[in-house]
Amino acid sequence: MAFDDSVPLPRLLLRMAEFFRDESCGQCVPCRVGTVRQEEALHRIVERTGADAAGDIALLREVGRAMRDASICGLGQTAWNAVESAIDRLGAYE
Amino acid sequence: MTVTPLGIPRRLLEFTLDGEPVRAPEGSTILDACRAAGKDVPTLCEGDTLRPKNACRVCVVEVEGARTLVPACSRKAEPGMEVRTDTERARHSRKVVLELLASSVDLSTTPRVAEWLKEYEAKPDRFGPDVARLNEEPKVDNDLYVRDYGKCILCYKCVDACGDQWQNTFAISVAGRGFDARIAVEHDAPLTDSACVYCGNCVEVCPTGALSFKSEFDMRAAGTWDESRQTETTTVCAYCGVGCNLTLHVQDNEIVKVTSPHDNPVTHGNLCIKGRFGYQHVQNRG
Ligand code: SF4
Ligand code: SF4
Ligand code: SF4
Ligand code: FES
Repeated sequence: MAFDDSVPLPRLLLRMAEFFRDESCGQCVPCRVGTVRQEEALHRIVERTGADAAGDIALLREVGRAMRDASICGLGQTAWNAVESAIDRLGAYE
Repeated sequence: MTVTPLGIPRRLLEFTLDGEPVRAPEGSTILDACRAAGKDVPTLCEGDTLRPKNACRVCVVEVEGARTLVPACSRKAEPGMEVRTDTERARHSRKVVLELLASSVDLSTTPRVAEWLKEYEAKPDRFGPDVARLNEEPKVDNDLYVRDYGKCILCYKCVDACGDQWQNTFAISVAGRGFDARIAVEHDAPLTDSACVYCGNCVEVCPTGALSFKSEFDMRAAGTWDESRQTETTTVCAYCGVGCNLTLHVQDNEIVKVTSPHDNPVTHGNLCIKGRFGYQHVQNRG
């Protein structure tokens, strides 16, 4: 899928987070609850940038790292990849 | 216990645990080796009478060369493995798993959780005040035991105990998926309309108190449940010739719940409805 830069990244990320929360089978804790907490944090910062988003981005990093390290399968392990790369490479929320 | 399990002698394999060489019998899990070495790795979904489901992920450790962390409760030790139990990486995942659970489930009756939350400096409140929780009302639909799924961590132990690992009744299962997954009987009916035979073997293995004797549930609600005033006496069930071991938990001269020793080589903590719940005649003083 390709998007031009008129598409607001935060909304795109929220949609992806919703997908992962929806697709989680619920077997392991990092993914079952982590994908919910990720979506909640992305909701909170959908209209925020800079210092206003910093706290939730730190939280997202912590939850994302645990999902990647401790989930059973590839779904939970990659549930935070898109959010991470949008923050680090595309400067979402700056 | 009257039977000494003999078992087949197992070869020892060598690996490294936190930098120290250790030897463990072939087939041991990393957790077995940690416990033998006196290391305290937290566990929730692991059960001493059940096959590991590795669902909670609170026991994760770091294995050299592995892309992700591995669950100590189910990963078998292998020769030459290098395992680290206390790295920043492992501790981080344990902390977050504890926070995720404590922010979504009522862990007030889960043994040791308060201690672990402190040890890992977990702050479940940091997700904010309005986050999604399970918020299930206790299901009180029979006189013997209560299902309070607001306390359920979905460890699968009750399902495995009710199903092919012990009871073979298959009364309960996981229904739904993701955060909406719950333990339920067929069509989410009351327990009295299900296949349940009230053996209580699910209550025996539940690590959170989500499943509890009705007597315990009522006493907790009334504020009279007090484990420091309880004694535990292991005896033999008088109902049939199997002679299962019963452990009677007694408070103020009343039996308040019945468990069964997990190390019994025949019954492994399992009972039937009579041994588990049929104790009223013992204290019928009328
Ligand atoms: S990581 Fe995989 S196994 Fe774990 S809850 Fe997500 S989808 Fe299920
Ligand atoms: S009491 Fe026995 S039969 Fe009923 S749900 Fe529990 S394990 Fe299954
Ligand atoms: S009811 Fe208890 S044993 Fe069953 S999944 Fe929930 S916490 Fe585990
Ligand atoms: S105790 Fe190992 S995954 Fe739950």
